[in-house]
Amino acid sequence: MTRPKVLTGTHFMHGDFAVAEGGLAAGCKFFAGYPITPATEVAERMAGRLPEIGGVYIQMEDELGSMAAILGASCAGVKSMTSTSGPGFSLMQENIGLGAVLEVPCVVVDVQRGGPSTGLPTSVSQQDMMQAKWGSHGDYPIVAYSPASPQECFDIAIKAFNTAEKYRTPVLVMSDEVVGHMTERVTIPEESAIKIVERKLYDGDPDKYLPYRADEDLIPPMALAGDGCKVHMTGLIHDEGGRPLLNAETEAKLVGRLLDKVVKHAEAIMEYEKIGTEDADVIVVAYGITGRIANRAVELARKEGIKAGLVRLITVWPFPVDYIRKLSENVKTILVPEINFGQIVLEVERVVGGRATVEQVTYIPGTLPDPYSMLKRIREAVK
Amino acid sequence: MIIPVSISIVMALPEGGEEKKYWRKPLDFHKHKVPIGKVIIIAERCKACNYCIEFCPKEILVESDERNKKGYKIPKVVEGKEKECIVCLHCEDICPEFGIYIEEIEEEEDDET
Amino acid sequence: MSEPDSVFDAHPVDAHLRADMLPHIWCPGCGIGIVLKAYIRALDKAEIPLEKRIMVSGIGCSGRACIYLNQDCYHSTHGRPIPFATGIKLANPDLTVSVISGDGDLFAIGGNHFIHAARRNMDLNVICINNFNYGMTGGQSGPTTPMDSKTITTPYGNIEHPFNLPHLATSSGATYVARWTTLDVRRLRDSMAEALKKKGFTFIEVISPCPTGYGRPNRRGEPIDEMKQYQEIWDLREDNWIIQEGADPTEADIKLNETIVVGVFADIDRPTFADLYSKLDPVKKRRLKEVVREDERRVRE
Repeated sequence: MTRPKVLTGTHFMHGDFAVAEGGLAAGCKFFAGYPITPATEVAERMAGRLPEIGGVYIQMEDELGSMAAILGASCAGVKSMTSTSGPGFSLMQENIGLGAVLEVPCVVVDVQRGGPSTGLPTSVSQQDMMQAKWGSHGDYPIVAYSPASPQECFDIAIKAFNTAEKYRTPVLVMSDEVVGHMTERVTIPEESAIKIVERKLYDGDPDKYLPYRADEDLIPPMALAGDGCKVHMTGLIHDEGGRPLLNAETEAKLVGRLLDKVVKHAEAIMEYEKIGTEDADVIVVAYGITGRIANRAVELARKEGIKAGLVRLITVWPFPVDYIRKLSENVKTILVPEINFGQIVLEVERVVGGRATVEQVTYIPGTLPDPYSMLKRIREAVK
Repeated sequence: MIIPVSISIVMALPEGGEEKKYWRKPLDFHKHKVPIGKVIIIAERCKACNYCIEFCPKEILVESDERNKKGYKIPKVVEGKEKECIVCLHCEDICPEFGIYIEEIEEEEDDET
Repeated sequence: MSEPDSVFDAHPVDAHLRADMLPHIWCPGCGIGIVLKAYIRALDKAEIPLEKRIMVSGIGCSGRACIYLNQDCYHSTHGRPIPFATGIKLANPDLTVSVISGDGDLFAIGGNHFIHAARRNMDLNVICINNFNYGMTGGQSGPTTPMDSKTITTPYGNIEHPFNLPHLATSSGATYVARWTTLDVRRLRDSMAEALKKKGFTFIEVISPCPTGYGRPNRRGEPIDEMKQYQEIWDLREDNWIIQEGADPTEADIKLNETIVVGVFADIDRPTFADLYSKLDPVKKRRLKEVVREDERRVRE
């Protein structure tokens, strides 16, 4: 017997398997990947599962090829994803940019490991957060989620596909080694209870199709390869017809729209969890596995009577600029725990603009963050 | 499979002296009519590579003094050879610019019979 | 001679082109336009329906080919047209997916994808327009630049051994391998049509003049002179039978100003990736060998 697309029920599963299951539940039918620790289990799961549900799994020759292949498959109308870790994520960057400019929905899972270079292949880090935003050359829109548990890996994979399909853009799932390899309870709901968003398809006259004529929501309807719409897609700066038009005016129009596509829908895309932020003196802004640990630290601080709060970012990009800015007006200190030498803390500093003290709680890549060192910093902040 | 076509067939045309290029005269030779083509040049696409002039087996094209907007000298049919195109379409195939093509002229009457 | 009334929709293949973008960007005498026309004619000859025609190209002069075609076209990144095309083909196996790109794109930056797509026998048609250099960037040496040739980055002559593309393709497992020059327009067209109809990874190398990037530093004269050199090769062939069915790809090395062996080097049958993928058995978890054996038994019965 083969298993169904959605494995409804309660499972004991690690984050890598959960993110794969979430992808499948969202309708992913194509996976191209390349082995890399600690993301290999995503591919492993897909290799077993996709043939069961009539999808295609292919192990490509490298991450460059994996990323290009998922873009191709998505252009032919199949929801597709890939997974990788640091070094592979770097190799994928060029085609992530292509995906953004061609406006091809797809999902890339980065199970972060310690870097730079080959770094710490088997250990945790959150060192790819800025690469997620700025990794490919040029300006382009990006959406990045950051799961904090295997359950969230499953849920976020579905959300990532929905966002990718809705806004026609590559979406990143910035997992990490700890979340990827942590085995926990994952509850998968009934298929009917899972909300799925499909991309807007073109249904007009095939001879009049302009691949990049956007509707009012800035998103152009998509025609697929083989639809007979004579799709033209190019990574060159192009006009509405997909024709290369290499001048500043077209760049302004195209790239402006691409960025606006995410900026103008940021409120709808952004997700964050607030705990005790209403009366807080010190706020912890965290994401991914550190967000989960921060939760415990804030809980312990509250028990000690410290007015601590937590903003756990579920989408790191787009960053909740307005919310954090507003928050900074009423708090003394904002702590940003991260398993890196300072990435998202820079964004928080930029947004806060001196209205509150911003400090990083640095966890060295390779160490599992503990709540007690964070608690210590919370105590210090209110002294 | 691709059957290589010998160029001598293309060049040997049933007109006067060239007939002797056949090693034997086909029995149904008289039944076959050589089509006549009209050469049409899209001047604005031409970049004067001269491939059509060089590779026309009937050598009916030459460089003209006429230039297109970009300044390239466009080819023309040699005066007096207007009816000599045999619609082999080699110029059409070899033109990198999509700038030359042949329209077959409907035969008005057969002069040779 | 006469001129058509309209510059668009004038030429017989204009319906397959975005004719309003012509004249194209390629230099006078460049062979890419010839290959593009042969490709359009081959699609017609192979009777591929318009909506099933997919072209993916990479970056460079040859990569620009897809800009001018009036069908589904995807202009991907440098070196990545083959994996991009792999994705399209696996997502929709009904499509006829072709990759047209240059020697640098397919064999330097994208060399890895080429050999692996050939190895796994992905059902793609790959056409390499080989002009022996990087044209778009101004004529640098590339993976196919013949030994001792001059380019702007090999001012004292090229010291790197070039790839023998038919040999590379056949040994990587391509099911159909041919090489032609831009002078062999009809053979090229017919060969492309054969490749389009054939299942598996098919590869055609087209030797094309690059008067600006490669011709000039190597004193090959005007574009027409470069084409005449192909004709000389062609004349030689009449005596020496250099056009061969099943020519030996190991002897197809290209040397500066020497005869180029053209013809069909390989025409074999091998199961494609998609063929074998469809035989995977997640229900009974049998090995491929068992599935194939049972299929054969069923056919016999």
